[in-house]
Amino acid sequence: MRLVIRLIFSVLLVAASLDAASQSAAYIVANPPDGIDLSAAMLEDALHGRVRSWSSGDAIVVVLPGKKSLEQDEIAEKCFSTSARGLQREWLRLVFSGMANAPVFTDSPADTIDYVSRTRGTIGLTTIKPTGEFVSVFDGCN
Amino acid sequence: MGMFKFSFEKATVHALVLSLYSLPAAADLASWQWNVFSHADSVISSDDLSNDDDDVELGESSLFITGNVSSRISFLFEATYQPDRYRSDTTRLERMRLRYDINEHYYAILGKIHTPMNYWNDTFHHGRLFFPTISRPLALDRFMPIHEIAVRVGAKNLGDYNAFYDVVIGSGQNATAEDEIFGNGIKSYTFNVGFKPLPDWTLQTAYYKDNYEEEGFFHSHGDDDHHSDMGMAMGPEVEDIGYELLAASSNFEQGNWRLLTELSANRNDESDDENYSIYQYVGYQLSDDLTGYLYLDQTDVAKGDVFFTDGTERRWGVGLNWFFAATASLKTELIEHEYDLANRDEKGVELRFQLAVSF
Repeated sequence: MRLVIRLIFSVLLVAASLDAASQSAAYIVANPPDGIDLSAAMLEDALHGRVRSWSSGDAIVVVLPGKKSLEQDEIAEKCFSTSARGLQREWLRLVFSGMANAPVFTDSPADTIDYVSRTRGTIGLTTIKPTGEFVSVFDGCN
Repeated sequence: MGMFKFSFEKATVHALVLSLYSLPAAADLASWQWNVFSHADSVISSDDLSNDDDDVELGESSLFITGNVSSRISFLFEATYQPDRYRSDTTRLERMRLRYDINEHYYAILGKIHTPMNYWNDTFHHGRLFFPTISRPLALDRFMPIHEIAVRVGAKNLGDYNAFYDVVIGSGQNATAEDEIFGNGIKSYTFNVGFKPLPDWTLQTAYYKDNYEEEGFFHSHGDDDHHSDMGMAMGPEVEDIGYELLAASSNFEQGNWRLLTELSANRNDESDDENYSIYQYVGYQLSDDLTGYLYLDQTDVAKGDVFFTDGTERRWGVGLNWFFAATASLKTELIEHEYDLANRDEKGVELRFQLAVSF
């Protein structure tokens, strides 16, 4: 129960499509260290590699859809306004310039949610909205 | 004043093993990444400026490893290899550092690092994949103190304009990878300060001071020719000459545009005049995978300088950078290259190609 209380899922609804035929969205799922107040601006900075540490000093680890993930294109388009290739390239550039911590790549939305829920200090992107009473919703992604 | 008994070459394997043993959980292992970056260059020249016998030259290959040792400590390792037909020391340890994040703003770094002298040197590693142009700015091959065995403390994201600063104390350019850390004492100082007027615009300036001893040379990114540039100009009796460098950078990335400006000026105690450099890049992203650009790159060395061959070196031109895969690019440039140096007077047009990959 303590683990559940410590675990805070923060979900950010992004880029809702104007096309009625495609109502899917992208969400940010976060598992910050104790005592961290999340904000949309902070999440955005982390996802773009502008910050690499929580205010506690602990590393921010971003969880992104990998090559095998079917949601890679959708996440890249909705949250980064680029292609899957562009997203992979940009994060590679951030990591190997030393500006950001190396991200973790997952194979499915379920893997992303599972990894974030198990790992403190992580922020993930997924197209599936996690359920549960500890979910918060923010407006805007970029 | 030997402060630590520590050799970087001997410590490389030890550090890797210790880092791996210290990983406490599978979560940390998942965040470790390693990549190999490599590239090949080719030049078609109106004049034989390149002095290369090969149609295609294999560039240096870089092994890059980074990861989190703990929630606050990260590790970065970079070594390069290039066959001996291209450079005398085939394998080089370029960087090996531990970083401790004190909190979201403050950090400390220990190891062999890239100096935060300008945006380029603090941002790009040895892999060419993410270089905006085929070559580094000329100043990095000639004037810049690229590497330091050092302690670096700094801060970032301060205030409304995301101000940042760094203070670096280092072993100086006369130290080598085989030396103990500060085995010859603290020889160099670097101060770097900057801010972001806009989220995608970085302005920074840096000051560097060192004393070069006889046989001194820059641990630059340049090839063997550039390494020897300093030696050609300085006399055998030169010792402990004070060297100062001031640099400024502007990097702007917004929408499809990217503008990068690198300026520098340097002087030493034995020369009356300063030396200057400018690198200006303007790029426009035509699509996700294709960027067109133009650039000017120039260095000017005053007559009689004791470290560098005097004269002007300039190249300018246009280029295309095509990412035909996520981690593979082909750059093509059409440039004019002009040497007006004391020991070289040439001018010509070059069509240059570079294939860069990561795997």
